[in-house]
Amino acid sequence: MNLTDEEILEVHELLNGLVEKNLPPPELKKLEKWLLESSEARQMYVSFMDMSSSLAHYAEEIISDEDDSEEEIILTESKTLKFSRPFLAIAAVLILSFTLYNFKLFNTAAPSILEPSTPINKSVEDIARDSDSAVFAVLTNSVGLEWSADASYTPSLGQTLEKTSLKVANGLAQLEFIRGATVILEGPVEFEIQGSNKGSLTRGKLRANVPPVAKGFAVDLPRGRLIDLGTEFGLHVHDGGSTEIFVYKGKIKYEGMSESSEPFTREVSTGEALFIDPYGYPNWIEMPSESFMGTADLAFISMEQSQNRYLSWVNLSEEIAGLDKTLLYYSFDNHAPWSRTLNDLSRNSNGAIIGCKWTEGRWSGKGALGFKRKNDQVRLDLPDRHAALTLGAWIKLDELNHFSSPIISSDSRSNGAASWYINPDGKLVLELTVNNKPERYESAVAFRKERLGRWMHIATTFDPVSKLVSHYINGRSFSREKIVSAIPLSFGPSLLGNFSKNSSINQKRSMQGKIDEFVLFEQAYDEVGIRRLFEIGCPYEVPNAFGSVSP
Amino acid sequence: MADPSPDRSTELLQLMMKYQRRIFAYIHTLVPSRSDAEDILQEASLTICEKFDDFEIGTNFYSWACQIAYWKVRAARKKYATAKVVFNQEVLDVISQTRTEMEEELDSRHVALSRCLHKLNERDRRMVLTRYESGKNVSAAAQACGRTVQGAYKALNRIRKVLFDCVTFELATDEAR
Repeated sequence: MNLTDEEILEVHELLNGLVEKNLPPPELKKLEKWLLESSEARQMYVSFMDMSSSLAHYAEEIISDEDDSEEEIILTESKTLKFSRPFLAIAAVLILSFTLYNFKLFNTAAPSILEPSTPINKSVEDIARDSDSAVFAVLTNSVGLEWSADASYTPSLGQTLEKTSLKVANGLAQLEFIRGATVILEGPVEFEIQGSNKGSLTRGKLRANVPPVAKGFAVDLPRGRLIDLGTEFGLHVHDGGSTEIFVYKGKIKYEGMSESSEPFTREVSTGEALFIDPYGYPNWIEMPSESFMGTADLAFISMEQSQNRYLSWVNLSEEIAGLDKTLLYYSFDNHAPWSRTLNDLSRNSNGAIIGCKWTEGRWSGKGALGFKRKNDQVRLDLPDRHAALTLGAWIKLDELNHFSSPIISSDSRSNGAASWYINPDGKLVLELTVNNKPERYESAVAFRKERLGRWMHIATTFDPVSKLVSHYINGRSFSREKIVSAIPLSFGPSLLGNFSKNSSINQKRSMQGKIDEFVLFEQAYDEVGIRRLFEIGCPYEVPNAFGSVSP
Repeated sequence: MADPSPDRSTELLQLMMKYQRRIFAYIHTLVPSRSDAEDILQEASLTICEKFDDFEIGTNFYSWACQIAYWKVRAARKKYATAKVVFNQEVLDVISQTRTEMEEELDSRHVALSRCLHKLNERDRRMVLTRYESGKNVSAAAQACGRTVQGAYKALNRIRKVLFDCVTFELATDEAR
C-alpha cells in the first residue's frame, strides 16, 4: 500500500507527536494501524526513529568535542577509550559489570531474561478503547495562539478535540462544541473540555456564545458551576480563584458553594455582572474588570491578519520581480478588469490574454485569471534556453474530470521544449520534447478531490547539478525523479492555461480554474526557497511554518 | 562460567564501542521515549556482559546484541506495563523486522544526516541539537534559541521534516551518481 502525500504528512505529524510524547491515545492507535498495514509507513517510522537516535548521537558528539576531558574513561594504562556522553552511564555499567564479573559476583546463574515473556494484560489498544474517545469540540480559529510551556496537548487549527485540558499562554483560540456552543479562550487561560456541552475554567478568560440548541452548556468554576439558559456570556477566573461573570445576552444560572458550605443559586441576566470572591461568596458588580473578546472581534483580527499576509506577499512579490534569476513573473495583481495584457514584472515578456476573465485571487482585491472556456489562454514568448529552471504557480483547480490541466505549454517541437501540467490522474508533470518525443517527469498523485477548489502552490525544479526533477506541493517536497536527458530547457512561443497545437497532449480544453501567480527562475531552488514562496504567499495561516529560515 | 580474560573484556568493550549507537538506535526504534530506551539499553548492556561468554567471536555481534535488546524490550512491557513501551507486541514485531531489513540503508542515512545538519541554518541546527542533548527537552531548546515553547515545537517538527527529506534526497542523489 503506497502512501499518498497527505498520508505521508499525517504519518510525519504522528511521529513528531510520538517523539515529543504528546500523542493522544487515539492518534497512537492510528499510528499503530499504519505500522501494521503499510510497509511504507513502517519504513518511514524506522527511518524517523533512527534519525532521532542519530540526532542524539550528533548532539552528544558536539558536546563531546567541546569538552573531551570529561568524557575519557581510562580502561588500562595503555588504552584510552572515548565514550560519547549518553553512553557514559552504560560504559560505567559495563566496566562495573566486568569488575564484578571478575570478582565472580555473577558466577551464579543470573535469572535469564532471554526467555519469552507473556504479553501484558492490558495493551495500549485496550487503554485507547477504555478512554473516552468521543469528539467533543473542534479548534476552529486562532489568532496569535501560543500554548503554555507545560501544555500536555497542543492541537492545531481544525483539529477535533476530545476530553482534554488546554493551556494557552497567549492569543485567542476559538472552540466550537459539537452541541453548538462557541467558546473563545483568551490567553493566559486554562480550560478543560469535559463533554460535548460542558467544560471547566480554572484560570483566565473565556467568552461563550450558546445558541438555543446548546442550552444547558455548563462551565465548572473554582467555586461553583455556571449553567447556560440560552445566552452569550463572559467569564474571568483570576489567580486565587475569584470569578467574574458577565452576561451579554439572555440568562445564566450560577450554582455555588461558599466557604461556610452554604449552597446558593444566582440567576444573571442581560447586562448584569456577578463577582464570586475567593471564598465563594457572590457580589453583584456593575461591569467586568476587563472586556471579553467576542467572535466579531476575532473575525476582525483574522481579517487584519489576512491583510498583513497580503502585505507580506506584496513585499515578496517586489523582491521576486527584482531578482536577477527571475525569467518571468506574472503576479496577476493591479490589472484593470478589462486589461488584455498580462504584465511580466521581471523582463517584460508580457502575455496576451485571450478569452480568460479577471477574477478575485487569493486575497480580497487581488487579481487572478479564470480559465473556463476551451480557448481561454494567455499567449507569451520566452526565447532563451536554460540549463536549470524553477517553475512556480498559485492555482485553484475546479475540476480534473479525466482531462489534463495545462499551466504552461510550449508551442515548439525543438529539443528541450517544456510544458508543465497536471495530468488526469492529478499528477504534476514536467514534459520535455527530446528528439520529437515527450519525456515526462511525473510526481505522485498531488490533486485529489479534497484539493480541488482550494488555492494550492505548485513548483517544479529542473536541476542539472543533482540531475533531479523535484516536484513541490504547498512548499513541501513531493517527489523526485532522475533527469534522463540533461538538455537546456526552452519555451519559445507558449500558452498559459492551455495546450498548444503542437503539444503531445491532444486536448482542446483549457485548465478549469484560476491562476493568480506564475513565476520562472533560471535556477533550481531547494525546498527552503520553495517553502518560502509558499509560506509568504499562502492566504491561510501556515501550520509548522519555517519561521526562522532566512530568505 | 569461565572468567573473561582481559583480552575478552577488551574485545567486548571494543564491540560495544563500535555498536553502541546502533544497538541504542535499535532499542529506540522499538521504544520511542529516549530516556526509556536508554534505561533499556543499560539493562541490555548488563545482560550482554553477563552472556558474553555465549557469544561466538566471528559471528554477528550486533544481531546477537539486538536479540538481547529485543527480549529486554519485551520484558520491559511486562515489568512496567506500558510505561516504557508504547506499542503492542504485534507492532513491535513488524517494526523489528522492518528495521532488520533496513540496516544497511540506515547506516547510510546516519552518515547523510551529518551532511544535512550542516545544511541547516545556524539557529535551526542549534535548536535541533539542543533538543537532542541528553536530558534536554523542547523547553530547553526554546530557551537556547529565544523562542516560545510552542514556536519551538513547530520549528522542531519542521526541522525534522526538512532533515528527513534531505537525508532521503541525499540517498537518492548518491544512487544517481
